[in-house]
Amino acid sequence: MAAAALDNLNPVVRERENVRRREEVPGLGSLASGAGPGTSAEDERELIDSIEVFEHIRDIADPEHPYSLEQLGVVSHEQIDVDDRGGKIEVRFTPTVAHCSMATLIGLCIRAKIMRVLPPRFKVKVELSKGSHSTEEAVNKQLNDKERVLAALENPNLLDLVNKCLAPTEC
Amino acid sequence: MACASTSGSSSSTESCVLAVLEGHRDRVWHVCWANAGDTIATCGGDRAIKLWRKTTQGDRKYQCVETLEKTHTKTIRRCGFSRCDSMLASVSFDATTCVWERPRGEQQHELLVTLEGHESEIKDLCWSQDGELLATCGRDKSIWIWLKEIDDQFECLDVLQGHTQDVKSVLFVPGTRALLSGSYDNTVRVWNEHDDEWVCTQTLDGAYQGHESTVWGLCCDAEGSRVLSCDAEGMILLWRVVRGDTEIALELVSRNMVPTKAALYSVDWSPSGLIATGMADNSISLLQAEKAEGSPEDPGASRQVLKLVKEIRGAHDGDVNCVRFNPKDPGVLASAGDDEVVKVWDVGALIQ
Repeated sequence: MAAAALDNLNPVVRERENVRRREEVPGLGSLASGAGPGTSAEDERELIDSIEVFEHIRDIADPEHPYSLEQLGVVSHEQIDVDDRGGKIEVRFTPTVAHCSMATLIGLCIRAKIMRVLPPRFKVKVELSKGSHSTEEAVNKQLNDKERVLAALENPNLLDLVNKCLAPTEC
Repeated sequence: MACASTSGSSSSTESCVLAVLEGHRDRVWHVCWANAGDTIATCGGDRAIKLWRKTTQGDRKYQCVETLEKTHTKTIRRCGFSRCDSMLASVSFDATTCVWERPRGEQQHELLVTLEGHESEIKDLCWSQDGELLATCGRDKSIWIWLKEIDDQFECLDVLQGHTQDVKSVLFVPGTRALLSGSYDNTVRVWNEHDDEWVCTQTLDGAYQGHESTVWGLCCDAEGSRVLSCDAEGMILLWRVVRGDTEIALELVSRNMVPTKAALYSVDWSPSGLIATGMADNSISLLQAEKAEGSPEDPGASRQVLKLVKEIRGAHDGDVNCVRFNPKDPGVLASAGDDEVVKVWDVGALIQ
């Protein structure tokens, strides 16, 4: 890692938060994606909530620091709103510094992760939390233009970066 | 090439579906009709173009007759038939434009030429009405104008610079060589041609009561006298085309907001005057341009507004990326969605 290029040399690192976790069969948890969390098949479909979305994105690796987005305080479950029946997910994230050049890449990682694991019926909005970035409007516009997002994910270099950041979330 | 073909099913809106075209393996970005109205071409994230034709057995079915694939290496964003339907152009995120030709008497298309020049994703294309010119635009902020030469080769006539962000849509105004473009920079621009050079003569932005978000789509009425542009915040602007001796200009007629304020990815105007929109909330709306209330005199459609005729909620199980009326039969509409299918709608049944 090129330490000289870091936007924030000394980020505040947080403890992993103890949010309510779902009962999961060890090793089978990720198989439930797409159909909602699986308990028993006869049960009514369990609603997807902000905790579940948080579970998916908390361990995304920061593009420049050896920490997760949760550890750096970039994402938290309070910054996620889910309306399961309305099919809406809204994620706000807060870069460690307001001039963070990685903000778009972080947002792209969050979007890619949600696209891969949650049902496509959800309309997803990923935005910087208000006032958290010097070019907030431009970053938000890019992250919510689906054509730009999908094109970015077909760019091999960008996709490689995204996959590296998502790797810790896939174990 | 094996492809599926099915017909419509039951339930209220579903009974207005003439056919559901299944076969794409990723979102369908675009649908277009051959000018003869007998063939549909579709393209999308699976990097394939599919051609669908009405089958002779049973009049409510379309069949995939051809799949053009393994040429573009990324998403195919849009495709379009040339005026006489002999050629089909496709533009891709792989930065190339392919022109496919169906030789006279043949059933299958062959790749005629691959046009290179754009630096990055190409997002839209438009053939001129005389079939001589092909315009392409994309993320490199430029619009390229290609001339089809007699030997079926293509020469770049001009590269139009001016937009400050990616260009999402281009449209030749029927009967002219003038071009309109819509962009991520929130503007609609008018480009007039003199001696094979295009000059931006109007930049319609927020200061001109234009759009305040990404302009996703453009379309023109059958006469080439009115234009619609739609944007990411649910706004459709109606413009009048003012024709001078050598140039055209756009004049704003009305600003119209769809009730849901969802992003409008596509707009199309049927030969009979009905307007369709494809939206990010999975819906399709049918609209009509009407005289605004309290405007008795209406010289030159200067006071028209758009009225909602019918909203089709849940038209697709995902964003509706494109809507296109059959140019020969305005009673038939095709739509393409993120749900990987194309639907063909009975417009008459929808508005009853």
